[in-house]
Amino acid sequence: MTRRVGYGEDALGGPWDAKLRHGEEIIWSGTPRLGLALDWHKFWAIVPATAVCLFYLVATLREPSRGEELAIGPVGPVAIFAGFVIYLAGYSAFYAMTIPGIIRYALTTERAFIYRAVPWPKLADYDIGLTAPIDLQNASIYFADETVRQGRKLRRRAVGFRNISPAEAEAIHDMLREIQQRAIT
Amino acid sequence: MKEPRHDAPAKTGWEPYLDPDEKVLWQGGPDASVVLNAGSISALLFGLAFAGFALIWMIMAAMDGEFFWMFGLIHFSAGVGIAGGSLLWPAWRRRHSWYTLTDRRAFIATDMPVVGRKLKSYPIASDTVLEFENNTPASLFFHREYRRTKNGTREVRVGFERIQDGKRVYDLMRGIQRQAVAP
Repeated sequence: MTRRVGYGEDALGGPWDAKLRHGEEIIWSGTPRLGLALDWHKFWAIVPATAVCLFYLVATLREPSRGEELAIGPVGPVAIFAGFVIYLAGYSAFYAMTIPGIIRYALTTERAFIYRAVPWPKLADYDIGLTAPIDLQNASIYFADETVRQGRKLRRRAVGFRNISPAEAEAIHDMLREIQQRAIT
Repeated sequence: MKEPRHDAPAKTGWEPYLDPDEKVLWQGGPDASVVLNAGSISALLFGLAFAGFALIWMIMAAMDGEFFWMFGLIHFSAGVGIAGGSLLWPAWRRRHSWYTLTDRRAFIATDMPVVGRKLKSYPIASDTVLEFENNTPASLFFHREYRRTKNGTREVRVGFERIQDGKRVYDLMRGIQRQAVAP
């Protein structure tokens, strides 16, 4: 099977070494390019809240005209609310970013590993399904999905190697097909 | 109704993604005309009502002479977006989609402005559930996936939508399934 060292890596080794099964081998490992990917669902939720915050801040800080009373509330609570919204926006933007070294990917002869160093080290593995759809999107490739809890809601999200460059994504596509075909025969 | 696009797949350039011995059985594109159905009509009415309410609010707020009325623009835009999007988005997505069936997989390629190119492949196995809607044009669904919504996720059917030779494609897929079962 083809073996390849991806962007940002010197060798195929990594935090997944201790988790390999008997006979399982790493065939690709790499790290994503630096990228800011907006989470549109969060973005659209944040826009109205940010607009309201800005409106109140501007209206509150505005000097009242002569004879006009300031009808808007105090700056403090609004500033706290604005700070909270900006924190949410910043956190979601950071979490959607792909940062070289902080996120690392590996593909073995059986499954894929995704390692994230912050906020705490986390290594997740995903078996490559025989009939799993493979979704090639420019510089990213998705090959599984998972259920995650967000607040009180459960959401399904696509899992894959994000922002690894179009050439790398195409190479991974071929490797995933090799894995699927090998499992069938 | 516009004619489905049969000349389109040649432009998609997905041949490099085929397995060495993989054969293309069929290629085509969906009908890209705007379709009115129960879902799109209800979304259209809701969006127009939402935008209309925001418009009335903006007019009344503007009468006070302050700049408060501008905050109605957010709701007005959302209403127009819901109304227009429900009607035009599915046709727009189909207009930028291309389908291919090989002897083992179904491909759906999209090339949307801003978003870019996407190529998704779905292996056709003996236990793949095929849902055939024999309308004119026909639709053939072979996968279910989850899409994110405001309130979590919802299951959607994935397949070749609104294609002209649906029965033929269905027969080809059944042939793939029979071959997969055969020893």
